[in-house]
Amino acid sequence: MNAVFKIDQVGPFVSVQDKGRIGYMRYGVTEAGPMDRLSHAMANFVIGNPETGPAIEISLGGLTLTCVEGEVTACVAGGCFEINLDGQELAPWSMFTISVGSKLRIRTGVWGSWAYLAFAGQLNAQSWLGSQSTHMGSGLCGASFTQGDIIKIEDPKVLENASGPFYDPECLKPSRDMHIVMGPQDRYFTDKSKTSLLLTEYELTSEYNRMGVRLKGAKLEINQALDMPSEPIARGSLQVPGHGDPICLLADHQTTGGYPKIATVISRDQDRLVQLRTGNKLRFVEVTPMRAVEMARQRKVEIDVMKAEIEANRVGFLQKLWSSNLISGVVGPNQPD
Amino acid sequence: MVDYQIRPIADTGILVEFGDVIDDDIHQSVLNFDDNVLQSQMKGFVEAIPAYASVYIGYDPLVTDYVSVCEHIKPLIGKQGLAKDKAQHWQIPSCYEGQFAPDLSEVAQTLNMSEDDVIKHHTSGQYKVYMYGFAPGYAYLGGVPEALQIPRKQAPQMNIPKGAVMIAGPQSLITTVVMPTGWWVIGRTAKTPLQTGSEKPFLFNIGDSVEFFQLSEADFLRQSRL
Repeated sequence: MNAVFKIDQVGPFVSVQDKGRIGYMRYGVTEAGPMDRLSHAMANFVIGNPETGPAIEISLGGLTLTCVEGEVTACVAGGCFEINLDGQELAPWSMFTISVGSKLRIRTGVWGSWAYLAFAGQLNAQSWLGSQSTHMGSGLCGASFTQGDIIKIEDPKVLENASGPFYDPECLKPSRDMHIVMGPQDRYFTDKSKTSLLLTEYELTSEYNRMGVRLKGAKLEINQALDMPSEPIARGSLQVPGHGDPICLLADHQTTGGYPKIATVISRDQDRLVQLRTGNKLRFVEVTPMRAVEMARQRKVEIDVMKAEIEANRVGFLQKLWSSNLISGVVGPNQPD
Repeated sequence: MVDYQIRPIADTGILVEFGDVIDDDIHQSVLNFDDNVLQSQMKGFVEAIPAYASVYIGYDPLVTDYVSVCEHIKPLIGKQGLAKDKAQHWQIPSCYEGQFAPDLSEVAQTLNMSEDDVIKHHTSGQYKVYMYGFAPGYAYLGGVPEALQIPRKQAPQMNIPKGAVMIAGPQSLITTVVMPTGWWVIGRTAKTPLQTGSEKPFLFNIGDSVEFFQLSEADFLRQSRL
């Protein structure tokens, strides 16, 4: 039997995302995948799925579901979102079991722009080129969810003794500093622009979707007329079109383009930057490519520590349950004095 | 000697630039380098993306690093590659009639030639696949004959169907999904570079050569029904 959900309400850009469609950019295929890769991986990890597997990415617009069939354990990770299960408020990074008739409402909370809903089971979604990530706009693999859509989980599992908060996301709340490596075309920008990029604050504008986010601050100017042939684009690139505002390219960025890129946000900070919101400010800090690699390795250690803590919290669910049974056993009404 | 520059891309890639113009010799350096990188079993290799004058190489920072990747790829620059020998030649049938060629007459008028001349020029061109970009399977084909080179439209037009054969400047391309575009639609083909459901979904390799031949509307409709 499957677990089946019906979407009662859904914001824009809510879609299925797995790790992404990696290795096809040479054929013009965007990688897609989660905006915040760390939270996506942790949602899958806590529930016992492969970290690269599919989950539902939720935007600021939120998502409300009703379980119309079956039963399954699920969890939410990502920004600090509000989770409401049948009227009960749950902590932002929580596990819970939903059964038929239950209503799950996920809404934007104190901070963060993206959250991930993962299910213990197989999320039924189209696959293309080895990935279930929605390919937005092309119709080649899935589409954003709309009201009335059905979400089906095959082989759903109910994990015993698995409900409660599994991590406190407070330490993931993005701070202002975002690390960048200058280039590949920093040489085409005026010295003043390069200095402004590093010394002044930039603010996220409302021009923000899965392709990228336009930033507002000191205008960046090129030092010569440019007619670059299109070249490959990497995620995290700070691309500067004629208007002079840097656009940080994100999960659904196009594979090639002809605008100069002044710098690239390091992979760790891409996950942090996407959790900022329109109006939030950030400051760019330059690092060398070798320092950026060191930071990626440091990040790996941090993730291992984080996983150990999540594991410990899961064990904690069991212990709490065990101790509450014990207590009720000791002081229960059927015990003699 | 091949001129090149290596540019770092954050903690996960490098961009190797061979020039900053669209040029066949530069593109040949790109193709040879791409082929050599793919054969080289680079530690931590994620992907290579060739373009007109540059190649992006993505790496896994947990396995390798910027300096090691630069050291690995330097001996591969300027090394002879097999790219030219591997290039395939494709014949693409195109219908240049009626509803399938909505911009044919305007292109002919703008360039001061007959519609037949437009078709003759387009089918006489020897095209090369320079790169993919913009959308899946969207292959940029360089080699539009000079007489047929026309700047793109002032404003993009919505909902151009897939299989549209288009031109703009020195380039031609075949759309693979419905999209807005400012290119001139002069024909239609069923043989698009993106064959969904096929084992090899992307028809062309970068560096392949392409020619168009004319198909009548009746033949096109018959073939499309198959």
